Amino acid sequence: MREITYAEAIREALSEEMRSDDSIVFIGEDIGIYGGAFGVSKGMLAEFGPERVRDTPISETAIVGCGVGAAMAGLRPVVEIMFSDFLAVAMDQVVNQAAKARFQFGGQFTVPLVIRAPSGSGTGAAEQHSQSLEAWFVHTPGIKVVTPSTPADAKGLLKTAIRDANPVLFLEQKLLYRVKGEVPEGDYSIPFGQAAVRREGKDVAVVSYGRMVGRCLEAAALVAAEGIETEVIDLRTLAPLDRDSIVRAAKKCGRVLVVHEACQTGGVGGEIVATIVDSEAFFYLDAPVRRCCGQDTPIPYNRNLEDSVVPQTAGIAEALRGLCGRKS
Amino acid sequence: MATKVIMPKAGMAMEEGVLVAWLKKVGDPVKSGEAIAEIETDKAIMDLEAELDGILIAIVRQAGEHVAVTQTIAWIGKAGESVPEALSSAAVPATEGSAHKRAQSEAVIVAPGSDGRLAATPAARRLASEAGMELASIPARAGNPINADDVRRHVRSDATPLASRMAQASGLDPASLARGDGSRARSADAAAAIANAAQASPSRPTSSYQPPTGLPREDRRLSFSAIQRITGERLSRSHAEIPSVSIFTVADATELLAARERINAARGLTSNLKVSLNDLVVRACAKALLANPRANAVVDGDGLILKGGIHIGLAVATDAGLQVPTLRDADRLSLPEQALRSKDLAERARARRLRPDELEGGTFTISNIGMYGITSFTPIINQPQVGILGVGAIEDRLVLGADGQPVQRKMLHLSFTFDHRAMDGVESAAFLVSVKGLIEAALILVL
Repeated sequence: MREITYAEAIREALSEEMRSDDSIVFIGEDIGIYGGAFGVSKGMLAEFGPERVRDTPISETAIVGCGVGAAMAGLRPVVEIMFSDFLAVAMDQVVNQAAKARFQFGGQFTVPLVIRAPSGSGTGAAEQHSQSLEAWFVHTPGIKVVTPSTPADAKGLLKTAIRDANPVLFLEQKLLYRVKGEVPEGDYSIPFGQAAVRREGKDVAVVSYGRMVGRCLEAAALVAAEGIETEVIDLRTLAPLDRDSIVRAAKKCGRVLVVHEACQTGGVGGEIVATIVDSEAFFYLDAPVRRCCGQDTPIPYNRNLEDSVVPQTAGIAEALRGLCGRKS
Repeated sequence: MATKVIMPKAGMAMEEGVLVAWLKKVGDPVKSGEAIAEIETDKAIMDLEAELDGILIAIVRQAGEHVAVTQTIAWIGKAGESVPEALSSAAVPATEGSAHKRAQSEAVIVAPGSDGRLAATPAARRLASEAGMELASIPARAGNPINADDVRRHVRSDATPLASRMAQASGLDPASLARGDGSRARSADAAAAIANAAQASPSRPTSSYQPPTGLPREDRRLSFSAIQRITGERLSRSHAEIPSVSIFTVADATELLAARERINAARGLTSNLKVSLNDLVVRACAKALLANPRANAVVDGDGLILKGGIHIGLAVATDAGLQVPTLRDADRLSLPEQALRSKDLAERARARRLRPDELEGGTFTISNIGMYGITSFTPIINQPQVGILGVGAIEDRLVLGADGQPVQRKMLHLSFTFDHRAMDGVESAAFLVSVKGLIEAALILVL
């Protein structure tokens, strides 16, 4: 199969959907002439024109608010927030408007809005451009949260997001934009709420999502050489959450490590752990469920410090060994 | 802070000991000075005493294990205290232990906390519950909660050893005996399974050789006890290193035996303790050693140390192997005192209740198997000593008397095996002749 980058896969999904559905408009800062801060929308202005690919002023509130209004009025807008950190500026539009409108008006309106936003650290962009804020939105009923870990997933999940009748936050993984992977040509979609088993194992299960899935796979390969067979679960979407897959993996392995880049306290990992201990999987646990997450600190500007506050492959491998009673 | 209990170094030569038995269980309170285990050193069994008051919170090494001195065997602490994890795992030596031995030694019974609850993972609790097992009976690794593997290891013994052996002998997998209810299969289950298997395959081809009917006699393997292993190592070294020579003689013990009868008859008025022939031979030997100091010596590198005291090792056969307690200052004891001490040492050797210091410091050894009718033998020298007296049987012989007429005499066979580096033939002969002369002089031995 041909290989394209994560960014190209997103562009392909968006372009294919826009070709087949005239109600889709694309709104954001620098997405038109500039082609997007990470080059995702290169060439789209030329193909779809300024009516459907709209550059905006620097106002996240205006961007999301415009998207919410357009969605309620019958369009299917896709808005881009240049860095997910800037969602904080548009929080009222996301949390109080987009997520609530359908409930608030008794179903008279739907909000088929997609908010695309690059997430995560690793670019040396410091505190305000490096956060992983998914937990805020997972904690907001009415909005779906998607965290694709591969180019193929990015394309298939974005299509599902665009076709969804309700608001979806599509958190793209900044460091994955240039990562290539096999992506099917043509139309396909991946349903929400279905985790993927990225690697089969029996000794310990890692539950992760987004960019950390790749590091979990690297760590699993490291400890496989030491005889630890790791099952790697990629959640793909955090809301809805595939609780069945989490419980199944926990029952199968009896030991679970939850890995995410977002800071640990109040993070999605806590919900994953709770899902396990709140299920019949509890009776299969053979070790405490552990988390390997970002530290509770703003992301530092210094690159070495930046690396030190988010999970790295070696740290994940060490956590796996610890769970399996191995010391390195 | 939990305190470790170690395998003590009970004698200078002790490098490892065997944990014979635990006298306390995990969770039992122990007092300082109280015996908590029995330890078998290379020479004796002794009590291991607690050094502080507390609770026996973990047993790291199990009964039957060989443990190097200073290695941790248990922990004493306060109720509810757990074993420091790093220390407990470090306590398991990696030396010369097979993986099996290592795995075994890591298993300890976890003590319940002060609230009576055990640390166990949910999976362990579920598996134990399904198998109808008490968590408290399941060994876990020190410092860790009982986990699923601990339970599985424990459950896997799903047949008694006898049932397993019976199944294996009949070509059945012991696991196939497993009962549905999780209880252990017993010999009756194995017998039934074997009968079933025989019925199911009545025409199974058999080999042309038909073994004789009756109970099968199988090969059996016996492990050496610690005493046997260490004795064996020393015997081998002695046999390989020492250029030994043995000389033999026969002593006329007629007078001595008559004297012994009179002594015991007289002693019988005041005491039940009889003087044995061996006591008298030891006495003769002690006096002969006094007169022949080269025989009462130890090899010291390129020289010989003529020992000041005469401390005679008495070889005693015990169930666990050869033991040689030391009769100290044998030349200075009165005869009743000597008889009493020898009897006490021999009895405690057989009960394996000797103190380590009672097994050290010998300057000469006597081995006596004459009571079994053996006329003569050449025992192996107990290094670093230079000689060993072998006492054989007494034979009735016709001997020419002073008047030229044959008379019946009781003749005692003696051998002397010596290190030729320490003594030459003439010196050794002088010693053995001294022994012979003292025995024949008889009465001097009473003094």
